[in-house]
Amino acid sequence: MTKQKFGEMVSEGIVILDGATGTLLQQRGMPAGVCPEKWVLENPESIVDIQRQYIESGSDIIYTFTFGANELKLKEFGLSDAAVINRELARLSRKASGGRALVAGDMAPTGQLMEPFGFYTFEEIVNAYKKQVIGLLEGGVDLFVIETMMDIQEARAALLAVKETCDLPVIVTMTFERGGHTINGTDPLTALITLQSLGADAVGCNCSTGPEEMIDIIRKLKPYARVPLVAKPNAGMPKLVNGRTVFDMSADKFAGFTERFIEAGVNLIGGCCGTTPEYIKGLSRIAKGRKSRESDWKNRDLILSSTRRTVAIGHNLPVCIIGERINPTGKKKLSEELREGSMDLVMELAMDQVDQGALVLDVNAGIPEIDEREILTKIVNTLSPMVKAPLCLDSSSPEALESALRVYPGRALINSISAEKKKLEQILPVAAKYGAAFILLPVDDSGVPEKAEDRIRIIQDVYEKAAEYGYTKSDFLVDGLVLTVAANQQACLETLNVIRWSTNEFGANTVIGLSNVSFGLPERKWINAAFLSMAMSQGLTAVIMNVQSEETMHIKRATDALAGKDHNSIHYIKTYGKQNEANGDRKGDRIYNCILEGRKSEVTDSIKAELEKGIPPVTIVDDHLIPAITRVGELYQERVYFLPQLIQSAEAMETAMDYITPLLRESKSTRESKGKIVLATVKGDIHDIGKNMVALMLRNYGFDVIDLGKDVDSEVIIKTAVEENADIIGLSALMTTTMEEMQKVAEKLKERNINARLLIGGAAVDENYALEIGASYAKDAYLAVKKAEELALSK
Amino acid sequence: MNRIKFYRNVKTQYKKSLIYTRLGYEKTNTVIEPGRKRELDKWISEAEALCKVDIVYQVAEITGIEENTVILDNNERITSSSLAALLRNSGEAVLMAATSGSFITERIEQLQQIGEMAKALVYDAAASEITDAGLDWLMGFLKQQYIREGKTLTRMRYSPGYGDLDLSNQDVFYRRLNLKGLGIELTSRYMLIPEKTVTAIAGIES
Repeated sequence: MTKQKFGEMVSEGIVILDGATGTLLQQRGMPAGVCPEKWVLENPESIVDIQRQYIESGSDIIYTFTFGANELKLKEFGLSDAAVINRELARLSRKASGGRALVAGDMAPTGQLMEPFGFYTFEEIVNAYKKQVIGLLEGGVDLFVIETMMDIQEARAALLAVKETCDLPVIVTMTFERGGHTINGTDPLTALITLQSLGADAVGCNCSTGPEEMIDIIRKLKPYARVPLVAKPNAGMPKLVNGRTVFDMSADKFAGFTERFIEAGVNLIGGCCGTTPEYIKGLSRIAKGRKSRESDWKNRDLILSSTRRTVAIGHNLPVCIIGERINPTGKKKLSEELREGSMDLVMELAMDQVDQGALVLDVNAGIPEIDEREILTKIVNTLSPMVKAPLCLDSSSPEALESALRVYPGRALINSISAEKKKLEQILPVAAKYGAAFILLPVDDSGVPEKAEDRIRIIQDVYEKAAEYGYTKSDFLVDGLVLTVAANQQACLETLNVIRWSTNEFGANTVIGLSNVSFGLPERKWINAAFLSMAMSQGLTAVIMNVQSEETMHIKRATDALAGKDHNSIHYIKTYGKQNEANGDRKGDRIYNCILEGRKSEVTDSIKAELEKGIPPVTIVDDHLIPAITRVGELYQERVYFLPQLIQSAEAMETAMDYITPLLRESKSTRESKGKIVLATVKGDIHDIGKNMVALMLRNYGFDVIDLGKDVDSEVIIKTAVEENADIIGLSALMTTTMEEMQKVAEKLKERNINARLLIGGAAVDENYALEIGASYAKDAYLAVKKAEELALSK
Repeated sequence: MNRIKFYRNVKTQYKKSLIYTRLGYEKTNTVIEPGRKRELDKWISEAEALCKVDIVYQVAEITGIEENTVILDNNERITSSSLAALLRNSGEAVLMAATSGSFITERIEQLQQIGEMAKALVYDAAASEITDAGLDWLMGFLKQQYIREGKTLTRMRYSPGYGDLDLSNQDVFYRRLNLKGLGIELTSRYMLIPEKTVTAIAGIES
């Protein structure tokens, strides 16, 4: 069957798929624990009978019984000849079909993880699938189905294996957990974008959930689907009844969802676990011959994907920022690291840019005399599991791009394709093979055209060529081509003309590389910000820029709000709106607010400024620092602040006290100690972060703290308390196996009549245990301070 | 005994909201300014990058269940009435472990030494959640494989140290999963090092 015929079949009416086979084979005597594929080959009539029943129930397509017949799964049963097993199983399905239904070669997960998570390389997985594809082709399948995929990268590997072996249509269905993601975190839309751009002929979901949840997935995917949508739900969720796992949704109830599936926009429908020919008969009766809802995919947004996120670029959305900093040009440190093969700085730059607002990351590995192919691929392999932002592969090397695109587990953006002969002839086919979007750079072999009309002619030429590969206007970004305004003041106006034309007449999204415009001018940030705002007013939809430039980011957010791209100014308000109001009427008190907001890097300067005004150190402590840390405590008690805020404030307070204490001594106005406390995590316990928090808080509130660390013997604790004449001993334990050490200390204190109070805390202990051993208990670091104050006073 | 299976550097799907909850965040009360929220989120991402989550598991046959004892193949006995109740419909059990490795714990230690306590606190909570999510990932992965064989995993899993499953059972997991081979140490008080390491057991029902 050709892809075209498949498309025609699906557009003529809803296609009925088959249902489950495993449980039916068990009913026919297949024992647990055997290799199902091998058992079926030894009992061929079992599968032929089941598949005939599905065809008689209305299935237009039956799946070969090759779910576990990939090389790696078969290996677990000591079987090696994947091609032969697949060929023979496909022949059995052909026999069952007898020409009455199409036979889809079924491929499913290998059960293995690939690098960087597992031990198999991407190419090893592709090759394992290719062996299965070859066998299924020899067995005479009409099309392929890749199903129950949990890992988008494995689904890509299987899809590429089919695409690189034959031209038959391929259906790909992923399995989404109840929360709406695969266990590796890919959501349905991300899977759809990645798989349809890579060339799947139909995409959807199977297994894991019942019809109810799956209808919702299909409905959400429909507006973005350029390909038919598939659903194969289970007969409800599995339940344990009398010690057996069953799917308890009846065939009638299952069929009752069919109307809603059609309404949601499904094109191919069948059943998965728990379904039988009776279930398929029910849904076929309702769906067969019905036309599916037309795909409402018509928006002009360009959509990119990573493994865990899609990013849409379009006219009704805030301008998409493509972070430019992973580019070694002019960056000595990054160049050196890339030459050495280190990815540390790349990772840091990626995370910083995402944090600062980049939605897509441009990655460039163009350094003279290095293997760009190797480095670019390494960057992709490093970033793609860690960073949710899709990548923009910035290279003019077809080899480097092909290598990176092959392993990139999403839909990437290529920067860029122009009318230069080499780029058109070599990069465009590579981009098309992997379904990548691209930036269309209006440049040809004669150079950079100055005038907008010349750029427009090139854009149309490149688009014409790209359309031959199936590209539409929503698959690329037109580069307005920014030139340096210092060299030619007319240049930026020509760029704006291109953006305006592309937006209003051509109908494609646009991008600019912003920083070129200000090259050679002082205070470049102002030129960049102003030009970005001008370009946005002409319809710009994406910008390659440095997200570290705060001025440009402020202007960008404001322009998004003013242009109505930021609907209801949500992003603007989110960024600038909800400031901390905990400071009440002390908004102008810098020192107070540094403590309140945990800004330890600013607190010393704030104190210096007050000292320069002649304010005495003791006044700074009494009128600013103490009230601030007291307010922090109140906010924590009220649960307005949570632990990180409390500790950040405590750190700021400590920084302030470290600076001001020597000054207090000089002015003979030292702060009185509230008491002396020996702190330790008990013998055998190696977790001490909780105890360290308590130490910080106690110091803040005026206690002298002697911190003995972790895994401390009870004798050392007692000895120190005696030598230091401590008021309190504070002990922490995390585990039940170590809390008994607290009792030891309590007993020794009592036996030796030592007048130090015992205060305990930690995950393993509670108030009752404290009472039992004669100690006081504090649940957290703040309450430890309060309790210590009580104990010190009562001593 | 069945083979031990190993997955390295797994990207777990943790919930950021659970990290916030661990740190005391209350949706209806806590107020956090956008800038500070961004900072905390960044720390969580940094911690995620430092967590190299390795996962091991082994399927064990349950040869008997008594009132408060589960007997595994090799006559390994685990005493816990709540575990016995959990596994009452299971013929097999999955023993599992996830570790986030030593980079993250070393970094948390360093942060404390240089006085970056708030950051250390957030890294610590994030690493705990990310490690736990490793076991969630494994259970999801196995559940998907078992469902087609008419099997399912128990909804819950139990870890040594919780309820009446004594921490000393850590020893069973340590030996059976060959955690030593992963570079994990078990102390005399049954603590696992690196600190961000968790073990658990769940049942396979069919």
